[in-house]
Amino acid sequence: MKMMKPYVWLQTSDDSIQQVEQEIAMFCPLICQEIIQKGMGSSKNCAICLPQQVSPAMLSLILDYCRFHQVPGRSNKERKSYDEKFVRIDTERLCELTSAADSLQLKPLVDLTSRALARIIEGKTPEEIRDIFHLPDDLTENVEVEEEHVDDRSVDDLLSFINGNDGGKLNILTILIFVFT
Amino acid sequence: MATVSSGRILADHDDLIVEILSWLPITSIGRFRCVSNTWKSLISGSYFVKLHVERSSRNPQIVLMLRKEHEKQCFMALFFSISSLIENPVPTFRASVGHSPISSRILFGSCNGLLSIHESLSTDEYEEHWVDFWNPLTKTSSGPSPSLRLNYDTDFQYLRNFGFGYDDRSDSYKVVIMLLHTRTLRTSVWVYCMGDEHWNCTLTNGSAFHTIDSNEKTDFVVLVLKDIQDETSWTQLVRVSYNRLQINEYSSNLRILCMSGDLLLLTYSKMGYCEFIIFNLKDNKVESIEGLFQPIVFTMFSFPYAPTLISPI
Repeated sequence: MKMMKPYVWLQTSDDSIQQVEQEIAMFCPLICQEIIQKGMGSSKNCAICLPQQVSPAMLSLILDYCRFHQVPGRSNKERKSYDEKFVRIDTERLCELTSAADSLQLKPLVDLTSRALARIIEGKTPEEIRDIFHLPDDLTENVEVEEEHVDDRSVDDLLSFINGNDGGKLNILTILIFVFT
Repeated sequence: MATVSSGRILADHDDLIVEILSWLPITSIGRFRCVSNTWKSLISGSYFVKLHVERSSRNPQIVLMLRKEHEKQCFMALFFSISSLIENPVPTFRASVGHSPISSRILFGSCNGLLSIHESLSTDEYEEHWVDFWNPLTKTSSGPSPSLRLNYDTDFQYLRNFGFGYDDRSDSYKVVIMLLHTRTLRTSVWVYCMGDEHWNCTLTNGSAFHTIDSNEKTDFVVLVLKDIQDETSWTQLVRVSYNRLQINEYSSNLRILCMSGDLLLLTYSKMGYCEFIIFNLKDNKVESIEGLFQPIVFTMFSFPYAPTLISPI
C-alpha cells in the first residue's frame, strides 16, 4: 500500500515547477491518474508535466476552484454563489480556463465555464461571434435563420376558423390547424 | 486586442465549442448556424443534438391538443410552459400553434421534442394504420411509415392503445401498438422503430388487458408510478369526489393537463363549454374553476414537450 503524500509537484506550460497540496490536486482526474498509475509527482525531479493549456495563472485559478469545492459540508447555495463569482472574469480568460480545465479532465469546471461562455455569446450576432472565436466567414450557402413563430390569435379566432365561420379566407397552412379528413 | 479574438484558443477545439453551444437555449440555436461552416455542421451533428436534449429538458412545456368532440374532425396543437398554464389557464390560450405539413392526424405521443401522429384508413375488410414523426421546432416531418394492416374476420374490430418513446438500449424511437381483438379477446403488440421498413409483432397472447369495474363512480383517483422500473411503486396521488370537484361523474370527461408543484390542472368538457380546475394536492381542495365557453365542444389532452433538434427522419 502506497503512502499518501501531502504534497505533489506539478510542472506548468512555462516549465516552472511548484508544490501543491496533493488532496486538492487529486481533484483533477488527469493529475490523479499520474499519481496513482504512474507514481509521478512525489519529488521535484519527477514532477507531473501538465498539458500545454495549463499556464501557472490557470493552474492557480483551477486550484482555487478545487480548494473551495473540496471542503465538505458546504451548502449547495454556497457552492452556487462561489461558482457564479468564479466565472465573472473576462472572455479570454474564461476561454483559457475552459481549455485548461478540459485538458485536466475536470468536467464540473468545464461545465461551469462553458455555461458562462454560452451566456456571453447568447445575445451576440454571428459577426461578433466570429470575432470572438476568430472564425472565418466561410458559409457557402445562406442558412435560413429560424425564428420563433408566434401565433397571437386567440383561441376564439382559431375555433371560429375550425367552425368554418371565417368563410375559408385564411390559409390552412399559415394558421397551422390540423384538419382530419 | 485581446477582446477581439479572445476565444481564439478554443477555435480548433470542436469538442469544447459543442460543450458551450449545448447550453444555449434552443430558440437561439438557429442564429448560431450562420456563424461558420464548422459551427453549422457541429450543430447538426447527432452528438450535439443529444447533448442538447440532456441539457434543455429543464424547462419543459406541454403541448395541448384540441379535438372537436363527436365529429373528431379538427385538431390543433398549442405549446405552453407549465407555469404559465397553471397561473392563467384561460387567458393564456393565446400561444404558438404547431404546424405540420401532414393533413390528417391524431397525436398520441411526445418524446424528446418529437411528436408522433397516428393516421388510419378503414374499409369493410381491413383497417390500416401508420404513423408520422414530427419536430415542430425544426419543422421537419418523417412522412408516413409503412402501414400495419389488420384484417377483419366477421364484423369484429380492434381496440388499440398507442405508445411512443425512446429506447436507449438501441438508441431509437419506437411506437408500440397494443391491439385487443374484440371477439377473441386476444391481444397482440406491434412495434415500429422509427426509420424501419416494417412493423414487428412482439407478443400475442390471451387477455392482457385489465378492466376496472366502475359501477360506482364517485371519486376521481390519480395514481403515479414513482419508479418506472418498479411495478410496486404505484402510489395514490389524489383521491377526490366528483361532488367536491362540482362536476357530474357521468357527463364529464375529466383529464389531467399538467402538474406544477402541488397544483394539478384538470380539464373537462361539457356540452358547449370546457372548464379548468386547479386542484391543490397539499390541501386536497379545489383552488379555482374557470370556464371557457365556446360554440363548439372539444376535448383537450396534453403531452409534455421540450423542443429539441432531433430529426424525425
